[in-house]
Amino acid sequence: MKEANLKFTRFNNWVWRNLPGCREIVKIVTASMDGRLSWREWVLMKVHLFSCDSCVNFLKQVTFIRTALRHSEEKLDRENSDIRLSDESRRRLKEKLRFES
Amino acid sequence: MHGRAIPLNSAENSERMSDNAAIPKVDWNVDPAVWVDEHGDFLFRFALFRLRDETAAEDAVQEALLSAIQSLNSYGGKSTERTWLTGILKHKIIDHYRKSSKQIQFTDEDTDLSGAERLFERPDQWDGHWGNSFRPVDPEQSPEEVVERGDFWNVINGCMSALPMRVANVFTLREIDGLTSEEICAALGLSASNFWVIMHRARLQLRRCVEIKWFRKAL
Repeated sequence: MKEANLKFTRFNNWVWRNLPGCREIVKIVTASMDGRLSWREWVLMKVHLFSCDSCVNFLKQVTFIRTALRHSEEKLDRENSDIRLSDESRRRLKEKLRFES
Repeated sequence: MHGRAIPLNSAENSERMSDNAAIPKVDWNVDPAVWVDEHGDFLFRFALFRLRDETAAEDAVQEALLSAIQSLNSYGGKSTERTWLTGILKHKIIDHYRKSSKQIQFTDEDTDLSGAERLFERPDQWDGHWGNSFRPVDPEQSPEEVVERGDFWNVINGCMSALPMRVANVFTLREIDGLTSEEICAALGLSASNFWVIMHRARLQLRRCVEIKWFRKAL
């Protein structure tokens, strides 16, 4: 077990030393959310994520925010329910609509 | 993207649709003024969140309701009235973005990634990796657990409004309205690489903000 850990640490060190760092990997991670990656980018991302908990957490966080936002419509609306059209605007809108229809 | 061009002007689009005999024409005895009472505040908030300007938001709502009158025939009642009106409003908002992005180009500030650089600066051999005090933490929650919480949405709201206006516009179209990259680039006349930088910038800044105000506090 101890030996396995050591191998793992050496592997991580090798990845960190020889492949692009976190700064570059987070660019690939966000790009993957909007389109397809090249196979090279995909491999770099997977290998890096395998050996870097911080970038895994980064991915978890951005995915978390995306998922939350995707069902945010009514929630955000409820949160801002104190924002309303003014009576004046309401009257103006109605007038305009009556006129047009 | 053949055949998937985004219908920017829904009124035009629905006129085309109403030529199609397969769609039944409904006789709607609607008083559009009732829309103002029933959906006005909702539509106004929807537009205000995206345009951040009360006058522009009100104008967009007005334009949307006026086009809705024009395209009443094509509204077959398949979706709720509110969903239908919101759909029309979305197009008006994109029109607004496009007009304003013609007048004002994306600035260096919008595509500036240097704010994030310091997160990856290290004095040791691991420069380019997360700095020790900036390492992202595990959210240790599911989004489903927090979406019902008002304080979470306060954080999101605050963090979103800290983004530069145009960055927030693009981000909202992508992450809240769910448009594809291609649709957004076409609608706003953005290059793919500009779109990418803007989204990257938005995600980095928003994530950092939410991490400080939420993820780290929740632990």
